[in-house]
Amino acid sequence: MTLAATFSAGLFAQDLLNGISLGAVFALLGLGVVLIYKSSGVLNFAHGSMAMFSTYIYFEISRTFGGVPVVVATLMAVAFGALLGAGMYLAVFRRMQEAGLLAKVIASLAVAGILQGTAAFLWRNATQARVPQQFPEGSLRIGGVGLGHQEIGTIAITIFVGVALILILRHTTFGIALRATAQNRTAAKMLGVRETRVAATSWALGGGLAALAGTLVIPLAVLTVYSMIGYMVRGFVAAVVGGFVSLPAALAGGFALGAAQESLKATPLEQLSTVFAGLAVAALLLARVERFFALDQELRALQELG
Amino acid sequence: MMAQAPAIERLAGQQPPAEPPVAAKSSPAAARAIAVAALFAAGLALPPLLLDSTWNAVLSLALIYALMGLSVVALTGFVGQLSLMPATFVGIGAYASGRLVTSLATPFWFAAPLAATIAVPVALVIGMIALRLKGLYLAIMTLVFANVVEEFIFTKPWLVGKGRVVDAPRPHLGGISFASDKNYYVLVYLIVALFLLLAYNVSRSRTARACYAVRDNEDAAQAWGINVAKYKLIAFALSGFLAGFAGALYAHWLESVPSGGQRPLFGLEFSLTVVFFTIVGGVRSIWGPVIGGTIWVVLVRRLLAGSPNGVNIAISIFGAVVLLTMLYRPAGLVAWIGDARRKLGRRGRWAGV
Repeated sequence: MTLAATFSAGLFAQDLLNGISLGAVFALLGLGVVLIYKSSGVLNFAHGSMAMFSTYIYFEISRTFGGVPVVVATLMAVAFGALLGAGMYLAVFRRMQEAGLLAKVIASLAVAGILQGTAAFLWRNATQARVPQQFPEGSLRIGGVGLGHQEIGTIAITIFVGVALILILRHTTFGIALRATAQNRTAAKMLGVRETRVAATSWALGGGLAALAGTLVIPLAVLTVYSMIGYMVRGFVAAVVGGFVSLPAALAGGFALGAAQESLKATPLEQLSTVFAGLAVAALLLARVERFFALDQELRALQELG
Repeated sequence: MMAQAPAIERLAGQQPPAEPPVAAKSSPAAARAIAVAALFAAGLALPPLLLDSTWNAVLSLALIYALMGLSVVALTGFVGQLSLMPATFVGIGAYASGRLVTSLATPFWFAAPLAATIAVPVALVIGMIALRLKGLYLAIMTLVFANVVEEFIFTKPWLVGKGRVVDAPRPHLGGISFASDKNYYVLVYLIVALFLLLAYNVSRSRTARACYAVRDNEDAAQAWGINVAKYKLIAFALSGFLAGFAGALYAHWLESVPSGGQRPLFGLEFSLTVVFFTIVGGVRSIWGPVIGGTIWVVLVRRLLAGSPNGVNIAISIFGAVVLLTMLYRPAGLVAWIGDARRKLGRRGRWAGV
């Protein structure tokens, strides 16, 4: 088989587009992971479980109240995700502010276990659930390539939400307080930053983003208690791109990962598609990518943590 | 329960409780040896004699899980590295042993150690990465690697065959067959007891003390002239071998190892299970995984056996227990036994038992 025989430009373009829409989901998850990490030093291994649980809430709302418009159901699921995130922080991670890194990781894994088990129990009759799309069926075709309305909507929402978050962090009081906390907790506290409020808000935003990611991507797949794990792992990769501190880099990283991973499928390197995330994260971590995004103070804070 | 040093307590941001003076060893070493031997014999003989096959199968699984947990102790308990891929090494051992026995006609007695040895170089690769990545980054790396291996390697026909199931028959030795659950329990018991004995001796060795120093303060250990990289790699290799061997025993316990599908066998869920029950039992002690693994297996396989969601309910319960453990008692259940012994010791009875 020659290169030319297996490579088709049309297929490549199509896979690239699919990859960008998948990357939007990675980016949404990555943004939440970064927000949570910045505010409380927790690498949230429960992120996928939060997304899964909120998507089951979306499923339950659309199943039980058939008449509710999907937009309302989605917003309710996002609100639930936000409450879940804030609740997790207030109940667990606020008490672990002084704890070491591994303790926080293990605690977040424990929360993931609780959420997964509870969801599997509550929805034991819906282990493989179908949830409705937010956008109408059908796709937009230009030339040889096309993209479903749901995918286009996901990309648009992600860009909108991502840019909004970046602006919030840059210009609002909350954003400045959050960045100050990430750089130097003690100093921020002394200057009057209410750590609990800032962190709880960040967790709420993270939970809401996770819920958004789940409700947008799962209509194209099947909802099981495991279906968000692979997305979460790739969301982590997106967060790694920004060294766990940079929102713009996480946003771009998510899209780039999705695009790279899927477009590999149309090349002779197809086999690498599944392992691409692993290779990427290995390269990024070993290159200490956080150096390029974190300020000196943030780097010091990161070093103290791990 | 030696060296309950402060790292895990420190992880949770607590000061270690002051160690009360150890009760004097009033009973002679001989009495202790007899007690240990009696306990060993009881564990070996009583379940096959008194309990039915189902219970024997459950207890052998508990011992296999304990061995998996021991691989977490070797890594997290000894050198303070958290890996989220113990199940990956279990999977390597399981598929390797199954294939060696069925496709290459290797006897189990060679296949199981060989399968465990195959996991060692993989563990060393992760270990070498861990020399550069610490804490958080290592945890992410192992998580992503586990996901990659689960999706990319454990689904490949060259490994798991076209039928996506690897057969792993129970072994026999000359005329003795270990096919029945009771006989297999005896075999697993002997092997796991051997590993526990080895681990017990290792945990009191100079090597282990160097490992504890690395765990508690890497920079200080380095300053004292301890070769941090060497001891981390030793711990990774040991952890891989133990998990691989546990995988081989697990494969022949299952008798056929499935792969792929909606719910991968050796995925994140399995890894979490192993990490959870080890932490619940106590990640610093070689008895921690025995206690934690037994509670887990009995809970899932007996108490919740009738429920289709048994595993998930158990994961919820264990998640909650892990959370409470992390918040209130980071040393695990083992610590309560230590406390009880000390209390009894202070009263003068049972001292030294």
